[in-house]
Amino acid sequence: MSATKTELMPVLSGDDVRTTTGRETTLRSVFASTNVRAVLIVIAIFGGGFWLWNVSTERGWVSPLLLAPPEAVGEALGRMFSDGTIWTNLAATAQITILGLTIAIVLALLISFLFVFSESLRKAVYPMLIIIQTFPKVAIAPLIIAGFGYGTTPKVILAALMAFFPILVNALVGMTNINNDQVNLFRSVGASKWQVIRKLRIPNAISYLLPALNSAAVLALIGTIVAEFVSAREGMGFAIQAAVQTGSVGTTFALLFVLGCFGVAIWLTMAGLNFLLRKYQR
Amino acid sequence: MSASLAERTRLGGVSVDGVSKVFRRKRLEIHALSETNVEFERGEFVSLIGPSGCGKSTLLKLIAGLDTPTSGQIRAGGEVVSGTLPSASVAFQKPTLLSWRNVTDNILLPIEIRNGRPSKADHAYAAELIEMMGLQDFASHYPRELSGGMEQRAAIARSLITRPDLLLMDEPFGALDEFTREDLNEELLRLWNAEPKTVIFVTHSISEAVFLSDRIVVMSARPGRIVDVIDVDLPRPRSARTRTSPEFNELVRRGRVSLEAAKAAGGPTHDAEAGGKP
Repeated sequence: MSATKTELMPVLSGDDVRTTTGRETTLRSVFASTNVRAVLIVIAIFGGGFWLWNVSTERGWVSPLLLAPPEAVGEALGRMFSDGTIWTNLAATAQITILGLTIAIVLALLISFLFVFSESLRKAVYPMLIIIQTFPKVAIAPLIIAGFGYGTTPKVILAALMAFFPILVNALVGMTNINNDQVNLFRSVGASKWQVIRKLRIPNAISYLLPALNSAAVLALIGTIVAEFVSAREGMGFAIQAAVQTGSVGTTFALLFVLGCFGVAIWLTMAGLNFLLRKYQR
Repeated sequence: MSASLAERTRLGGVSVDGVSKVFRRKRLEIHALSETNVEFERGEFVSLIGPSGCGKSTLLKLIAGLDTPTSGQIRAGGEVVSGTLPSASVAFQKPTLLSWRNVTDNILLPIEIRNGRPSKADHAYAAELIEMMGLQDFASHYPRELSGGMEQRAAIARSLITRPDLLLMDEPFGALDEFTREDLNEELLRLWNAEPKTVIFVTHSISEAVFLSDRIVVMSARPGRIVDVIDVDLPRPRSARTRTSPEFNELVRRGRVSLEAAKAAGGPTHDAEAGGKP
């Protein structure tokens, strides 16, 4: 289908092409590599950004109420890690995010399964779920907290609510987006309904689920932070709000930096999960 | 079930007896197939050819047990077809490979469905089929890494992995270019020679039908029915040289005349048969 597919010369794949480029590594060839260039671009952006940040705070281009100087952020980071408060907050946020995400995954998969088995159930319930989905969930955060108290429960609910939808929609599309030929192929070899699910629908759904899980994890984190903004005694959302209210700009930036790192960690965890799912898919 | 299984696995011949198929779509009745009688002998290679909407794919699906006739009976190996046959295998127009399985695992899919885990012998046979289809360098490649022709080769290997007595092929080469198609025609005949089986082959191409078949069944649309049967008495084994012989060209001419008559009998053919080409 693509132009790179070569029927007549199947020998001319990958390996042979590579050998023709030669082996000696000159400075020119190092810079020609897109990876090397990408790393250079990253260094330039971070270096330039840091320099601009430093200069603009030093010379008072930006008010210290909006942008803390690097040393203030560094100092705040050091303090948080030495007195251990960052770990308390991070642990609280991580716990809620992971719980919410897990609940969302289990529920979404369960419901998508039920929907595959019952067309009428899907037709009845799916529109309702769409309505819930279109509703801005952040807006109902105070309501959920009023309803479920100030403990972990309402925060987990909000995190799960945020993450639930992309998983459900993608699981459902993946399980049902099967063409006639594929179904006929399975029928022609005498596959049972369960075999069609296990060998066709689920593996197909996994292809759709992989990208959905990444965004669901990030959404769960957003839900958690929002819930912590509204009401919490610990957690990253709580800490950020406290820092903003006391005017500690350095602490705020330090917390945001840690939160960013946590987001990357979640993303990497999901990538690992993807890898495991791919193995299961076969 | 197990009592009839032995009988079913000895199948090869198929008899289609007064079979008709009517589809109902919103009050509209479409006579896809009307009162069709045809015999396929054991070990025979027969092509079904005809304009779009003549019911050739419908007939194939009925024989495969993927659909049930509105009236009439289909017998395979002496037994009435109800449901899919363990001794039959279907190859579709699209390769229909599963994107998350490599070539070997795609080929072994029917074994996995029927027997669970494939045995060592199954793996050996898969490797043999891969070799026969010229895919040995691609055994662990994924479908997205293959060309259209290679995907179809893998699909054919998959249809052969169960060692079927009856091979049902629904325009398997329809989407391929002329050269790839001719190559695959020759390979198919080689496989058929090596392990004789009944083949029922749906196609749009007259020359493909002549090249492959012992007999060509010409069908007409509206209602779908058989209008002509052409015996192809070209010597076997057939090769690229067969295509240039005067006998071959005479048969292609006969096929064309018959097909034109079938088209005229069926009126204009504007209705869509999915993915069909003229």
